[in-house]
Amino acid sequence: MDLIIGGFGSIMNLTCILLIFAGTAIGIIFGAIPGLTGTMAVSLCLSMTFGMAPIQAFSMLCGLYIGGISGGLISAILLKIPGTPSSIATTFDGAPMAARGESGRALGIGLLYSFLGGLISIVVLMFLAPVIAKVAIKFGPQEYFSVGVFSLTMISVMAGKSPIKGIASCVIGLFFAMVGSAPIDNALRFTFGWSKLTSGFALLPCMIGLFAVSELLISAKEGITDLRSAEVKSYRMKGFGITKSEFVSNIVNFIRSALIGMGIGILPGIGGGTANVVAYSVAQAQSKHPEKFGTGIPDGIIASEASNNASVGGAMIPLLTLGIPGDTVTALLLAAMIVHGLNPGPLLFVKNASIVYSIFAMLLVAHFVMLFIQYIGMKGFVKLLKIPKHILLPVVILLCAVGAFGNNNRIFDVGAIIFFGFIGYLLVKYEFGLSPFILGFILCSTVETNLRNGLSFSKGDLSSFITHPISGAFLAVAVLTVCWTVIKNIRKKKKLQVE
Amino acid sequence: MSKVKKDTIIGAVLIAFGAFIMYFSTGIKIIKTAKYGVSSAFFPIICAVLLVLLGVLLIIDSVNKARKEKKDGSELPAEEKEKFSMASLIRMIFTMLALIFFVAFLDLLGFVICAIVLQLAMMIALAPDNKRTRKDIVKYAIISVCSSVIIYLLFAKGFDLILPGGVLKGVM
Repeated sequence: MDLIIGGFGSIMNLTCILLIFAGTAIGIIFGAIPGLTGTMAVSLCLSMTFGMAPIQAFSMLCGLYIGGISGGLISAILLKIPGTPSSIATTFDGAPMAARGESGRALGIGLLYSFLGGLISIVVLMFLAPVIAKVAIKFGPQEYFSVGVFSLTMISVMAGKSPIKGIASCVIGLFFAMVGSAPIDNALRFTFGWSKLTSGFALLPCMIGLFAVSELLISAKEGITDLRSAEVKSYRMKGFGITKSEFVSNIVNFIRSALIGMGIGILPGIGGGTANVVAYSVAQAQSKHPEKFGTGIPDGIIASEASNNASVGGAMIPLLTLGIPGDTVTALLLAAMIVHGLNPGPLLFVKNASIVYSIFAMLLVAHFVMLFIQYIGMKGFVKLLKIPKHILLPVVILLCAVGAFGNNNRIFDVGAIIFFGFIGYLLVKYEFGLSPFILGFILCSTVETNLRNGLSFSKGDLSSFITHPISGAFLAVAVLTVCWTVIKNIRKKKKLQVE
Repeated sequence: MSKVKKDTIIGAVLIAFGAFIMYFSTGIKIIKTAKYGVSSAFFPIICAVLLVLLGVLLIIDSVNKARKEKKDGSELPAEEKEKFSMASLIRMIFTMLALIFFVAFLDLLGFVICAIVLQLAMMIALAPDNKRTRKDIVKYAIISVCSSVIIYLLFAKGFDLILPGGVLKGVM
């Protein structure tokens, strides 16, 4: 409890609060404008945090994370275009509500449940993460290797349309992480005699390339539609637009959606983008009136918005306790932690406990800030929806290039963002998915180092990876996941043949 | 190109990439640091084998789909027509060239000049067709110059980040 109070105490100063406000506002803008995401917002603002103290840097980054995931509902309801993948399902009921003149009510409900979903997940995070960290601190190489393999398997089979392409994307990510000096013996791999490749590719340029530059190339390929010509629905917000009876009747829907969001957030690599669609489908399947979903009912907005914000708390759990990102923004937060000399994992709770509890406090405060500024400043955000993307995107890319350069003061890293941008473009174009690639890139060192250390400690005995109970359990779940996916695909094919 | 054909080619690319990794993995210097365990070449070889296997699986999968398509006499659900035109190709090449120019001349010309060129080129390339009038381009040029200078000053003076000065070194 002292640590929690200490966490709040460390951020209760003007600088941190202003940074949370600024981060949340920028995040909301990026979340609201279709084509720009919270991941991009974090990519470009990361460079501004290099010179800050960790507490200040993470105040801004946490604000960006919460703002980015919450802003998507504005365009989902008013433009009928989800601002981010996290708000896809919000469009299903938000847009019909707006069409019949209830856009203010839809925005209010979305806002309230984004706040509540996020709040519940951060409270769970505060109490669950230290417990998991206590268990994880006892992990040896076998356990780390197996958790790594489990994470890579889960993301590979679940993230994309095709498990084969998902696994391939992950393996390609592993390959690019292997470029440079190998762990343990520093043997040079795939440097082709080029000295700049000796230290390998840094995580930050790789992430910026994959998520920002690839988006630029996709926009260049598809062309940008002028959002100024899109019809923005007029709205009038009065309270949160939900009646007492609607609130009571949706308690189960809300709790279930928040739990789904948290659960999906915990799974490595996937977050709000998947959570909102799953929560919406489950809410519809469990509803007494499923036929009303899609016609503009609060239940759909509640399911989508509660789950996407709840995924934040979930995604932070593996990041803080194991150093494994739960979604794309937490992958960038991992890069930020490394830049600021923090080492995410169970030891973070011992060595830098004050930072961990400050991050919990920042996430919680950012939710209140998000609620406040979205409610008060909705009119301003709606106006910003009309900033032309062809002007905004080049400025964003320039800031991302500065971020990549500032990472190590190397022009090579700026070149790397273009290279990874092109790779990212190809991966998206051919439906490989970016998340498996990035998780492969991040976890390569964990998996390889712990495999080699584990074998060394067990005198070359491979069975030690199975006989260690936690390690064995994770490997078993990984194998079962692959088997389940194969069986599911075979059944699906047979069903199609019968039809 | 149909999705089946495309997947067959992607499968072949994966096999070729796997073979490439395998070839260069054999050249990795083996340094013995421990009595037990595996060398630094082990993990790349596993990746190479996996990529070849995945490539083969993708080809088998797409061949099966093609067979089924023939057998049923009907095509698989029509793919969405790709929005790939000459205009999009030009936009992409222009954007890529602007990015490459930025990296290639960053050290020589400096951040500000490269940033202005990069932004102006991207704004013109990405703008909708009706937003490329002379007036618009002047507007983009003004935005590019202002944003590049502001970003330079913000990071160089505000955040102490040493950005390449290039030919303007000492001026700004």
